[in-house]
Amino acid sequence: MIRETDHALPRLAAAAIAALCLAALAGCIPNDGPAMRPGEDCISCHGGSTGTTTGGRGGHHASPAWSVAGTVFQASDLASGYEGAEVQITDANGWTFSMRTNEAGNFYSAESPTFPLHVCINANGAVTCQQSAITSGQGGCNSCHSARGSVGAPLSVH
Amino acid sequence: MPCLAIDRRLIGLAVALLLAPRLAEACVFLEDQVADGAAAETTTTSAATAVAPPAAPPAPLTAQQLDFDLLEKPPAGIQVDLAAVNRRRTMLNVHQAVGLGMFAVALANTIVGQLNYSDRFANGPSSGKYELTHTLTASATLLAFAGTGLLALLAPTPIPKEGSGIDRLTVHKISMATAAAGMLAETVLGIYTAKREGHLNQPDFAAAHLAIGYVTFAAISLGVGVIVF
Repeated sequence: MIRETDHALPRLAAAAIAALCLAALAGCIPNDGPAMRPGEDCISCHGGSTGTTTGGRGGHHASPAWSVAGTVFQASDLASGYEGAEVQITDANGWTFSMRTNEAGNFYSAESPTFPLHVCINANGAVTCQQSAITSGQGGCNSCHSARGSVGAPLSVH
Repeated sequence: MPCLAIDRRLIGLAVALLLAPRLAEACVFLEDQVADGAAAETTTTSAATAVAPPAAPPAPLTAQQLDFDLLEKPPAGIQVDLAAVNRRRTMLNVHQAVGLGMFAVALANTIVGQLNYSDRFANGPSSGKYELTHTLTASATLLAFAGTGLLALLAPTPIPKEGSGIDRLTVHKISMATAAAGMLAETVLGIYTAKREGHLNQPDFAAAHLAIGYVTFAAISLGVGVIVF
């Protein structure tokens, strides 16, 4: 006797294979994702509720607001982001939190620390801290740490 | 004729003497039989008295009384709407096909969801390359799940289910109800997790979303498995 569910078994196997193929094909780095536009001034678009960004899927759309954001590059290759560096922020109230740079070297936070901030970068155990405090409105690190910024060079670590 | 008379008495006496032992044995035998019968009658009467009073001899049945059905009357047949039966069969066949497709999409969504979590939160490169795919597969899974469920819920039930207890369909329904609750929680939690981008607690919400996702997929797998296997 053949049950109707006997026909379902090969269908289930085919469905599972299709799912694996679909999953294998998945994955495309979005133009407006966490790795977008390394080295640019993030806060110019992600500075508040009025910020917009031009996404890879076309058109302008609202961007989440960051309080602090920037990019860490490799000192040996300023065109390559440094992945895995820990950016530590300590605000005026002594609250400390950290962010981890992604594969593009980008880091960002939507938390609301109290300015001025003190920033240190821990790259493979080597900690580098900024001498001056970051005042309100300077949460976009790349606005100064770029070739066109006041520092004249991007933020980089060895 | 005194001689003849004497002779007759003598003959009678002789016969009596000859038969006397036989008569005595017969009397003893008859007395035993009478005693056994009386004892048996006494026992039977006692038992009958204990169960029920002795019934009167049955009256002869009339012709009207003899006119009866030997078997019980059959129960009234169920009125089945054949159109509804056919509609139910069609809807449940589509339910099965869409359900298997939904299972495939849910499996892909679970895989992509794990890849997305590993990429974004588990010390991965945080490239976000699985976010769009995860959004698409999650939306497709939700739509397929809702469609599959509606096909089953809206299918007519012209023949009421008999019997009770736990069977495959009951397990299927319980599993899918669990999966439905998981789907709802995943949708709300997924959207909220995405909105927590840049916040320190986003990984915690993402971990909860991941855990509920696995529970939901396990419920879907159980629900499909009890029907297919």
